[in-house]
Amino acid sequence: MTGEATEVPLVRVDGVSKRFRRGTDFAERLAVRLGAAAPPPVVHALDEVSLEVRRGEVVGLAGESGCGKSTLGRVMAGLLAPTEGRVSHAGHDLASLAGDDARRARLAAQIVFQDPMSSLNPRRRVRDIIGEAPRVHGLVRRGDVAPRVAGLLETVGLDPAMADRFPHQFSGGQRQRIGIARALAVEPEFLICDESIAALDVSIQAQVLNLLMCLRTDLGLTLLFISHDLSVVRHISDRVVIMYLGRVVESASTEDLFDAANHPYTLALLAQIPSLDRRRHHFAAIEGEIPSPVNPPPGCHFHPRCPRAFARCRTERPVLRSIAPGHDSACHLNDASAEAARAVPTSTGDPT
Amino acid sequence: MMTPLLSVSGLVTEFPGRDGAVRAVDGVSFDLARGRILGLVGESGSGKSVTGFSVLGLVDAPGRVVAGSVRFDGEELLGASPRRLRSLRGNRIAMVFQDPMMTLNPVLTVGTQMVETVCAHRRVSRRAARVEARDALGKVGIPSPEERLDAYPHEFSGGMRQRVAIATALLHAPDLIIADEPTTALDVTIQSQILGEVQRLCAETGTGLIWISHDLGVVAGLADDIAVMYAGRIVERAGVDDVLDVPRHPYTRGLINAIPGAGERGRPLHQIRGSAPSPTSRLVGCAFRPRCDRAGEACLEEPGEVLGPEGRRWRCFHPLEAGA
Amino acid sequence: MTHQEPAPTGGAVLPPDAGGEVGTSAARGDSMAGRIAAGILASPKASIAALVCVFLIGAALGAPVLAPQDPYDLTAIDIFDSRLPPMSVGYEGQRYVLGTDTQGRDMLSAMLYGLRTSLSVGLTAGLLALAVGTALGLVAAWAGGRIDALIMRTVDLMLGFPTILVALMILVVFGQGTWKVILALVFVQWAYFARAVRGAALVEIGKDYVEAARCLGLSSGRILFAHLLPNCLPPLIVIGTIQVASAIAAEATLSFLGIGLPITEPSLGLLIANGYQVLLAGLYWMSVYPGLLLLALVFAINVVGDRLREILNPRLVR
Repeated sequence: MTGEATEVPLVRVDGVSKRFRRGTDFAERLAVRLGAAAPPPVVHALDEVSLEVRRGEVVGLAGESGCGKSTLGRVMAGLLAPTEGRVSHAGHDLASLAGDDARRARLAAQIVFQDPMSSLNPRRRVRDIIGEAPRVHGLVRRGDVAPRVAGLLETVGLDPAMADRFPHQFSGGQRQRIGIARALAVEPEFLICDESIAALDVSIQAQVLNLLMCLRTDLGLTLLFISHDLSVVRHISDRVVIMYLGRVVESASTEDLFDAANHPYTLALLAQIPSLDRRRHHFAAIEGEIPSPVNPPPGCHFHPRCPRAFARCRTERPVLRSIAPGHDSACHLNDASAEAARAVPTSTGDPT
Repeated sequence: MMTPLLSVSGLVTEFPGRDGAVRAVDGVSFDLARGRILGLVGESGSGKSVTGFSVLGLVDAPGRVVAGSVRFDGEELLGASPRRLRSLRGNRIAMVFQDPMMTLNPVLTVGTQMVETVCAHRRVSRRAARVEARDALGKVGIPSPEERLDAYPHEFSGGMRQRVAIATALLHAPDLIIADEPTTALDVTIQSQILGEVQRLCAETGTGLIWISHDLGVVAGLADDIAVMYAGRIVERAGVDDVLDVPRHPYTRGLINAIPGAGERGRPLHQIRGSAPSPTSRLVGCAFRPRCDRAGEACLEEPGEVLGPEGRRWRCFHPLEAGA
Repeated sequence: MTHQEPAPTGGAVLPPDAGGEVGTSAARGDSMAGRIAAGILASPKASIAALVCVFLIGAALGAPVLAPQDPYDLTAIDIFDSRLPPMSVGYEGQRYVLGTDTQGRDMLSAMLYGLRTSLSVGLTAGLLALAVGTALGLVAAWAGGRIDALIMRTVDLMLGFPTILVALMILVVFGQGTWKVILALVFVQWAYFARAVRGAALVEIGKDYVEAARCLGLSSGRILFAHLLPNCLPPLIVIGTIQVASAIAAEATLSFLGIGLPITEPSLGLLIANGYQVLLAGLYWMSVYPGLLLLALVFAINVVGDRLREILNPRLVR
């Protein structure tokens, strides 16, 4: 952690772990107790993740399947309680809040979901979808709901006259905009975009991405942008966090991450980003499959696929440490070269 | 000049709709030479997938191909007997789908299915077929292929399943592979692995490949030629460098600009206003007209295909300047 | 080659939609009522069955007006007119279209009133079972864990026993009476609804709009009844229809066995039972006509229910 910010971060997670275990019923528990059945597998979705998001910044959270980015997003929103660790909004531990405070904290963090088809209730009109929550929570008076909904629709670039329609009458991009309007209706401070543009066509992705950037500036929102698409993350984020199999492996400002990446996984990911400039490119990827979060490898999760793994990587988990101001990485190679750096004073200690 | 491996001309595929027939593919023409890779690029509703299915005669009734010609190595496929098409499919033309479970039967082991495929087209003993299957699995990079032959599809991960589908497609060393978004649902690192395999195999065996995708970045790295589809028509067709460096059609330019990485970080991306028309509500004239900055009176007519230098083609009355 | 025919067109006719512009044909006729009406009219079998249902319900509702004679009015019945075959003329010159029973009651009137009773018992039991089953199914799906297990094991238990047997046992223990019959039927039938609703609700709970509702701080009750329930209607409608038919048939069976409705409120089942005693003597009309009416009713409802099942099939619904 940088320890530089003097103000309280908007959202902070400390040592958060989240494990999922399929619920067992009585008969199954008995069977396990008697040794007749194996206990159901545990999914290690998050493993001691610490992260903070400062007010007003856009943090890009990137990684492949099984890395836990969606789970982390929900934990930060307060939708999922962590198995271990604490989540705090503006310095207040979410677990300790109750009543009105808890409600306010819940509304302050909203999620824009991935699938435009299933993220809107097909049986409700748009004006109910957007207007329900502010009405129920008393944020607007009954008479003011319609103008509020109209205003929100305009903000997201839709015609307010369409408030009476049903979701199936809109295209995918328009539905995502309605989802954004719904999230904005409760006046959140923190918006989590969970692969919000992944299911859209490229030309529509650009529209929605521009909208999000506008909203960030106009409304002073803080964004957590979760995506597997690094080129999009690069475009919109101030800071980027890379996750692999439930752990943060690298975190840096966007420029530092893309220009001077440190962790071997980050480097591999960056090498895979398809770019329009690479023609007749020889695709050479890192070997191996992404392990399942049910059975993560010991030590560093990435060691089976890492081209630079050595003995220590197999047994000891690397700690997320600062290797440069604002740049953290979890890799034993940094320790090795740090030792080398101490031995040779002129070395910059850059392991790559 | 050698006969192109695949020559599609004026292909039209229709589906009956509530308000009359809907043209998912509306006059598509392209050629593919032996050993070349063509990237067929388009967004949803552009008709790119249906084009692939139409070539192989896999369009579900009540949809059907109503016009055009598909010549594979000189032989006309449209109107060919189902028997002839069956003997070609899997043998000389293979298809890889986005969802590998479209190719793989979940209740049979992978080995059983691959052996069945081999024996369907050639008179080989089952043991020899099994050896071929094992070799094919090894070629696509599946570890311990001998044991994996006895596994069921659900025992493979997504990326591995797609490799099995590709291996199955390669069993008879086809002349042509049509791949419909096979890596869209996969992680980036796995996608690169598969792209690498496909590239290597095509180079080794001289197989022609049509790679259907919405991802210009992937196609840029893989293809020799690109055809851009919009609203059922090919709006631009040229070599990969020509299309990406000097696009002539405004939609192509718009697509390129919409991709982050093209513009500066943090600046708004160039967006194409509006959205693509659904197949049910196509306009008269140029389908891109409502979204185009350069549209004019002439665009109320449907633009024909203009033949440019070095075989590149586009459909536009106001193409971007060469060198723009 | 195991090339399964690709299903990009799915069950629908068009290739995957681009997302469509606002106001395309998807907007037309999309209300569930509209779809149901269109679907029923599209099938000749279902249209006829639906007509029959409407006709019978109308007849039942209008029984007091339509029936030539009030079968409960003891002064209108004349014992001298008993056991008359269909189309005979009675003591005072009135024509008995379907004959009379052993007490002298006009069969047509008795059948109309019997239909009324059968339908009202069946509908009431069906609706009550729907309410109870839906509530429990939703709660089971939402709560999960032990509550879900408890409710679902109870459902399994209920569904394991034959309907009539359980109803029989309840009525033997608690005695006869219209409301007791209804409650016995509800007790047996709620399980079907609970299971169907729980399944549909579980699917919906997995969708993002439910998670969005939680994120927006909406209460569980609101989410269950205002968000989930409307989306679980298709299986409810289908099962509701078929369960009403089942309730009618079950009540008829119970009445036939003599432990159903009291004699003062004869349903079709009781009429069949009464006529059964003299059936072998050749007086067929007392049993057969009520039997045919019951058959027609149950059959018509089932045909409509089957058609509803096809119309509301989620795989074909966008």
